[in-house]
Amino acid sequence: MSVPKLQSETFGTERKSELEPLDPLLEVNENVASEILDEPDKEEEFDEISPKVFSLKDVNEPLTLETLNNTIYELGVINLCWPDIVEPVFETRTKFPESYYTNSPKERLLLAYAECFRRQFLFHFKPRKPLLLQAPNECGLQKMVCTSIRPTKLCYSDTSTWQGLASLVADYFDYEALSKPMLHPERIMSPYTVIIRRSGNPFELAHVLVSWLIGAGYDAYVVVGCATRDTCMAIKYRSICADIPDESEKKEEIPPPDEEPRYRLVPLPDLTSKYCRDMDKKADDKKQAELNKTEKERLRKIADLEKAPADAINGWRTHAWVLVLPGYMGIDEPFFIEPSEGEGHLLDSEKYQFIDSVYNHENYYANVQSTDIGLDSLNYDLSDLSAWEHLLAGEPHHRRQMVGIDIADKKTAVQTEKHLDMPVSWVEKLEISTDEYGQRYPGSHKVIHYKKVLLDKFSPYSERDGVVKRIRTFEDYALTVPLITYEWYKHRVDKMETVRIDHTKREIRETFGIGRRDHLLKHVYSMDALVGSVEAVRTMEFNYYARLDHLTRLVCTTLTFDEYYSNRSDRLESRLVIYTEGTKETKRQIKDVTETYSRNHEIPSKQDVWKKIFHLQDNTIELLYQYAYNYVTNNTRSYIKPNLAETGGKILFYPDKTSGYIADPNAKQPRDLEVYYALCENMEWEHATTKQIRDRETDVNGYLRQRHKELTEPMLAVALFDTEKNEAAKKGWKEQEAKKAEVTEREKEAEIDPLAPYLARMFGSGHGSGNPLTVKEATLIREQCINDFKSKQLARQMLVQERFEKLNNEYKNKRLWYLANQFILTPEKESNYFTMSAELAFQVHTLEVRLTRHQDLSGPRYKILLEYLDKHPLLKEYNRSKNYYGIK
Amino acid sequence: MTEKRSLNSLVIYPDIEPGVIDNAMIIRCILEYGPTEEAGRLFAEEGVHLDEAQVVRLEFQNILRIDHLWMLKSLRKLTLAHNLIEKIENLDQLTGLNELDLSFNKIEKIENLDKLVNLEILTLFHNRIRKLENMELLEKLLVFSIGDNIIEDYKEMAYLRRFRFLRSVSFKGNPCCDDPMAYQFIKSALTRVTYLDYKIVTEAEREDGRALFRGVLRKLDEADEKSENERLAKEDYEARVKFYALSFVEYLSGPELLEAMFEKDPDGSLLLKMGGELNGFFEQYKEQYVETMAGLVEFALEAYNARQYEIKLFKDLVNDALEESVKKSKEIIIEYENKKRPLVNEMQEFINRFTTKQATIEELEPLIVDLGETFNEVLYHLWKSLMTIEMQLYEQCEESRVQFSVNITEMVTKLLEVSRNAFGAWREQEGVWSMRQFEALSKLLGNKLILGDVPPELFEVMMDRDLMMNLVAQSSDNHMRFIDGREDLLMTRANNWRDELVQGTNDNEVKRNRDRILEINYYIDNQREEWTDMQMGLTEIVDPETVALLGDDF
Repeated sequence: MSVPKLQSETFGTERKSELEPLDPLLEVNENVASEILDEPDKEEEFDEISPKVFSLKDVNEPLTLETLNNTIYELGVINLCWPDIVEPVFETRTKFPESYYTNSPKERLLLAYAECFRRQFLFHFKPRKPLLLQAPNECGLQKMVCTSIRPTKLCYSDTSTWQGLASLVADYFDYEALSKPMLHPERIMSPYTVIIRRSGNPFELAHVLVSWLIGAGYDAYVVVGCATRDTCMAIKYRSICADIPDESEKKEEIPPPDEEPRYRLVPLPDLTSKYCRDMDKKADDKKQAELNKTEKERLRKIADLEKAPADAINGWRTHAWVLVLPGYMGIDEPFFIEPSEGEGHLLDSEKYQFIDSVYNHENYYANVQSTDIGLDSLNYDLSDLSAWEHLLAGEPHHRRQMVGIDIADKKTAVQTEKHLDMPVSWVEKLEISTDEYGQRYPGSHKVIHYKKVLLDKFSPYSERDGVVKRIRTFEDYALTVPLITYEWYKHRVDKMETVRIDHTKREIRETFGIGRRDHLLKHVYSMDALVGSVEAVRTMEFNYYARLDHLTRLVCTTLTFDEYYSNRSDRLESRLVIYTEGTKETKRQIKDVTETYSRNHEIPSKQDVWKKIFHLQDNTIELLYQYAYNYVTNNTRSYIKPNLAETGGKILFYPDKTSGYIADPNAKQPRDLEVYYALCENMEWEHATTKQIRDRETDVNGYLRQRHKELTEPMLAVALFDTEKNEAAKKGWKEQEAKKAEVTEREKEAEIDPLAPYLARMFGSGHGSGNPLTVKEATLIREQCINDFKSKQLARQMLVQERFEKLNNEYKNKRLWYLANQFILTPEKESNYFTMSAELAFQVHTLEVRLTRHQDLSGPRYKILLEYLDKHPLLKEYNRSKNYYGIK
Repeated sequence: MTEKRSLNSLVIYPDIEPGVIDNAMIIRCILEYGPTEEAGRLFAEEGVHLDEAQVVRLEFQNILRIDHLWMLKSLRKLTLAHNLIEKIENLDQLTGLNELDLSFNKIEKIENLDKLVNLEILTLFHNRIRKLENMELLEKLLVFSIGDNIIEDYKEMAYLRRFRFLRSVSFKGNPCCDDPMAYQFIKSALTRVTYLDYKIVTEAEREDGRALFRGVLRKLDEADEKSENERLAKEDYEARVKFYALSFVEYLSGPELLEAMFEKDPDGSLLLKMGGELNGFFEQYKEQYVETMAGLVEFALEAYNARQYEIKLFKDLVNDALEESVKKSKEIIIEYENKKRPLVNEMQEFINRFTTKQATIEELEPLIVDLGETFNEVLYHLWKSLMTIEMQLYEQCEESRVQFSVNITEMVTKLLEVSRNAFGAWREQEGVWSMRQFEALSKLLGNKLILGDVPPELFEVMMDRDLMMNLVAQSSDNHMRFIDGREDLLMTRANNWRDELVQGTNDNEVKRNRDRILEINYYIDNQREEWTDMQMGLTEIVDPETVALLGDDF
């Protein structure tokens, strides 16, 4: 961390010229100010700042205009002269409303009020910092701070609550720390300009936020006061990132029953030695205490290391933030909002040290309470005059409590109302467009550095893969060894919502929203897992409700493949598959399949199968039945499968190849027929199950391939009604319009007489309905027309041919290039190539079709033209003579 | 059997001679329609279990009379089609019957079906039935076929409106089908039937019929509605009585019981006809009675809820304890199985070594004995653990059970006390009523002028003082007896309920305990037997001496 370079600044020369005609009122005694602060030794270290007003020393320098101006600035003295600003320029902005560079008479009066207030305040509270009552705006004109607040209601979904507004302000602007940390800001731009610039100092951000908060109905105020260095400079790397998802498992504690249970089990006699237990406990306690001690020591050391370095001007740093008072919008307790980080803080927050004054667009309140007490024990009732000094008496109107004033009496009423109220704001409405709102971060991207954490925020659609937030946690303060990366996505076509990458365990965890075709909800896999292989370690969770097979979870390892189901109508709960180890040549083989079913209470437990275990390699089937009420053993039945090849596909029953246990001593042994039926059923079932397992593997392979494609070529979904981003729709509209235009064009074309241009050339335009031509004229025109037609057809064919060849060559070249480079291409380039080559292939094909079509059609077209000419009314004479002579 | 055969031997064509159902026929039919191939072999080997047959088809058997079907207790589907049956009878035992097919017979009347309350499908196709009757109790009827009979009046079909679940009716082939109105009537009258003659009935068709038969249908609808309302009211009332009976105070809410008392007492009701002042007193009496009993009913309902809660508390505790113990036992068994597996493997190893002649029995014997001892130890440990758990469960619950019975008894006693008070109050009211009645009547005694328009019997009574007094006393006696009877009923039932509950709980627990112990021992025996079998597998190949030796040990 470095202390920002603070420059000793004076007013610029142009500013000076404005201030030249000094009002006599301004000649205040600076010596008063020199008594304000009791910090003589600090002075030397911060001579860069050189706020002379804060020194006890006599001012040795000669009283020049410059030093005088500087003192005026440091004291916050209000300049009661009104400069003429004709052509205001600020950064790139030149066009300002008139209110920006002129003060209305009411504003002037207000400033005079303020100056009077300042003097009185100074008189009464000498040791206090000067009050911030005015500041020059971007045009260099002094404006009363209250009038810079322009209440505006924003109409976006999340801008009706303070949380939404605060985070919007924090996201929307870059933060500029004050260049002179102990003094008032040199300028406070209009919030409107701040929004355009997307950057501002704490005062400007507080103005924007308060304007929006008041617009949303909150009772919000700008607070001017002192805060810690980290707060003033928006340093986050000493604080913990609050956005890191909480992964500690929540233990739900069962609340103890309300009343003493009337029945309880008699406790079993406790036969353990109490002495031994006590001794053990003592030893454990001792060990634990030692551990605690070392742990505590360690924590203390860490805390020491992480502590911020000492701040020499602690307690004097000027800062502005926001205070929200109760009474509106369901707020019960006053609290602060820090505009630079967009979060609310309690009144006893350590960030803030002192409050000088608070204000909003209605009034200005100076804090006259004791400086020793903490912020949480201040009195926040602004109408209490012993705690807050008001600039404008009796304002705002709606807070006034009329007691003993007879409004009916005209004179009293006039007297009561005869005082100044706050003029309307000089700022335009503080609206932001949907686009800017959507973009949210300056430059669509914001990085915040927390303790051992980097937080990136992106606006939606700004990144190719749709990431909107990324948190990277690190092992060390220098951010070199990554621990866990969290990513949040939006608008992805594959519905991926979050990714969690654990770099130490090398594990990736993806979560998805509902609505995928495969209904995947969560996918956990190792970073080393082979892409798209079911034989890697991975867990997939599905939205079983939407799936026909009610698959809930899949757990794969190299030798197992476990499926879990929920709420299936056949009561299958899980199917666990164990494979034999495959070699390089042979694939792994199914060894055991265990299917578990839930209890069906409609049938007795002896018929209700709990587990079916198929030992495929041993050729045996094991059936475990459900436990009956009060039974601790269950029926079992095991079969050695008959060899179907020997019996010609028929299943025969051998009593010695099956055995079973019946839990109920009184029950009859099952009948052979039942046992036989169960065998037949389960042999068929085994067949079906193995097939299902194979199918499932194929399915999962498909899902994994699809996932791989989605990850390497991310696509973002655009809402159908989003006219800005929906390229396809835009293109569609354009095409539709073009088509419409084409249709009208074609309609026009149909009426065109191919002879018209020749007629026009010969006789001038408008000969369409004239007399038939003479044979000579007709021959000429006809000849011309036919010749032109022929040459045109030829030219067209040449053109198409030429284009076709060109594109075809290009296509072939591309293909060769791809074949040569296909193994070194990034997926992105590869996909680019594929789209491009598809496009090219399409164009080549189109040209080819056009060419053949042209070749096919040119003959008939020619014929049609001849026929047309033969029937043309103007060529009647010629045609007759032609027929007569029989010439072609 | 032999007799029958000898009879049949006199017949020229015994195969087509009509007869009755007999055992042989049933078994033959079951086997004929039973499973085939390997399953058929097993099925036949086992012998037919008549009481387990679910489906029996007796078709083309020339049966004259239905009989001998009572053995087929679990029958669900019975087909008696294509026989010579003339009368439906002897089906009363087959209460579980779901489907009955009597088509192509000579039945003339529908009867004797009242016991088949679960019947859903009834087929009477091609018979000689003229009238639909005697089917009121077949409430679950879903599919009904009456085609090809001789029903002449299609209005007869309105009978089917009473079946609330009836969805399919086939009717074709009856004489009245020639009337074009028949189908229109059926379609509109049987509103719940979706398929008529296996064709779906459209709404338009129903509408047509409805227009034609508006009057008839309205009458039918009204009748139906009335019976439906009555049915609902009855159900409602019965449900209420049932509900109150749970708290032992059925019929006690409202003046119902008092009225019943007067109904049963002809003297009292005769005197009541006197009217005048008496009516007022009677009303007052009724009011007081209702109030008293309302208090009792309210208390009883509350007491019922309290008892249910108590039972629930107790049951929860016991069930949780049982669940826990079962869980623990299962864990122990799994543990045991894990221990047993290596032992079995080792044993298998020995057997392998022996069969492959790697070792002689003499070499292996000490090892096997050792192994057997280890196994026995493990098994004993299992037995001990399981028995301990069961013992603990039983003992742990015992105290609660005692507590439970005490609590329940206390609650019932409290209820009885309240009821005693209520009935005491009722008796008092009865006494007051009796006195007032007597006073009122005495005033009128012999007064011909006032008594002029009362019924003659009453007039007679009122002319004679002794007779009147006798009557009043008798009525009062009757009433007292009635009240005593009702109170007795309540007390007996409450006490019985309590005894049954407490006793039942104890019995169940004892039975449960015994079952569990039996199961544990049975399991242990089984395990031991399995082990011995395995050893036998080894020793069977060896000389009998070793068998004897090992057999002694285990």
